[in-house]
Amino acid sequence: MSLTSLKFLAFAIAVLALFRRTSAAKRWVVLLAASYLFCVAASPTAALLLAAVSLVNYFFGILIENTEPAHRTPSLGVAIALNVTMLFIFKYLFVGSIAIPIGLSIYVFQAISYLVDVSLETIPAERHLGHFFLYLSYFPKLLQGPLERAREFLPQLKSGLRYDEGQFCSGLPLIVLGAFKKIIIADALGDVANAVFNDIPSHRGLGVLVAMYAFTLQIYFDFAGYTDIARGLSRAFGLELSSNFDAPYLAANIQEFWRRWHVTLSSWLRDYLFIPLAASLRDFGKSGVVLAALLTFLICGVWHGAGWGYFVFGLLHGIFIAVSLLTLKKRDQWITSNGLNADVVLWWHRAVTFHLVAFAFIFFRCPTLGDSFQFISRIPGPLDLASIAHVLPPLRAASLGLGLCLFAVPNLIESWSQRTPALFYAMLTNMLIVFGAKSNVPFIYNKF
Amino acid sequence: MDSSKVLDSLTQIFRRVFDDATLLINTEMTAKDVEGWDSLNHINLIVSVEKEFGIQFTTKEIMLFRNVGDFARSITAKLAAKCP
Repeated sequence: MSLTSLKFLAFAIAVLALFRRTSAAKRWVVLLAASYLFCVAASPTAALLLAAVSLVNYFFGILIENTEPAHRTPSLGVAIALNVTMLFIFKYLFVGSIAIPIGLSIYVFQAISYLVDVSLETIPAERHLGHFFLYLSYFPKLLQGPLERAREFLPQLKSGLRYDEGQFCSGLPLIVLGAFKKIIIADALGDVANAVFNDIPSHRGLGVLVAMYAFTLQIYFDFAGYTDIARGLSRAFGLELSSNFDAPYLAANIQEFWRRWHVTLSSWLRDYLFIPLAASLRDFGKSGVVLAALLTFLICGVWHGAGWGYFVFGLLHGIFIAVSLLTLKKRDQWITSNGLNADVVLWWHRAVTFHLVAFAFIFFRCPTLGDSFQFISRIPGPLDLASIAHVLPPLRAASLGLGLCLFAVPNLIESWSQRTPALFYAMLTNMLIVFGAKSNVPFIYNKF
Repeated sequence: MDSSKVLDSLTQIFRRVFDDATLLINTEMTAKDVEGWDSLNHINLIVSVEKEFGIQFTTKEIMLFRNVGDFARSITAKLAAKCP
């Protein structure tokens, strides 16, 4: 059930109606039942797996807490190994032969962070079985996150789920904006990207380059759109989810990009992978840190799936980060000592970072490595857009252009939506109705 | 070494790692308060502190450092254990 489908809208309204009628103390039951219904609707087997993983992690959390701190490593190790094995079996071992259970990568990573935090005693083990099950299964974040930390999510359940008109109203604009990002912008960009990525031999030159930019923008608007909807809807249930994006394509270097892109995953990788790895390898000096960065980003790439394209995507980002770690300080010093114009330097850095990211996304998007190399080999060529000019009908192209302008002009949305909120959101909603009648396109990150 | 001396030495290390001769730190400061305190500089800080004070942190301790105060307390405790 896609978050932008009418079916989901009806489902969310029904859950909200029930949520409002239920006493605050029992509202978690409504959300838990809705979450499992949402999961069963996708696949009953996936719901069973989710329940099994939740139960195992629930007991391991308590076991780890009840063990002396000095002796926790074996039980923590077994618990993490079980989670990783689940991920490995369903995501890599039977790749292609069975469907990946929905949300597996998200809830397994959340479970691992929970267990490590319990082991480090930064949070207590959760004793409330229902709350723990809801932490891993909560339906707005089940498919694509945000990867919530238990210390952020569980206390919100403990303090009681309030229904508040103000909170509900603050969430609505986020839902509209999210749907707009997905339907008006990402799906239209997707049509442009697909036209080339699905038929690489027929395209060359500027058309191929435009497809690369289109996919780079599509994946951002697609994922950010989902996150906005999930966050907006959660406010109606009295829950605040983490923001996953902070204008990532304005990052001036690749390290900054990862602090702004898929923030809950990158901070997970930093806290539970990079820092322990770099700490263990610190005796090797800079080489140790570089190795830790490479390993972290390889795992980040492979986390997305079994294809070699994801491996290369991770490897490229690992290399970018390693080079950045080794040279950034010196480059900044050189720029300062040569008195270069700060604005020009900033926009140059942004452009370079954007192109590095866009290049790596080619490997992410192409089904095989062969396709990726073919795509790259066809970038040099004539400045001819004719092969993709027909992809979007004029009105849809205009709505895409308007949508991109809305997000490209700094503070335009903020000032417009604050000055005339009713007009602004009515316009977006109308655009969604007029241009959003296309078939329901799944979110890119649903498959991870 | 008492905690105020530890904080003084820590200030010098922070200034070296973050290349800022005027940087002032306090126990409540977190990575968000210091420009450039990213995961790489976090490791650089650990290495510099270990060298300066002749101590060794465990991976668990490194994962738990959330602010300057955590650093200072851990250093003070390790130094006290070393020279009671």
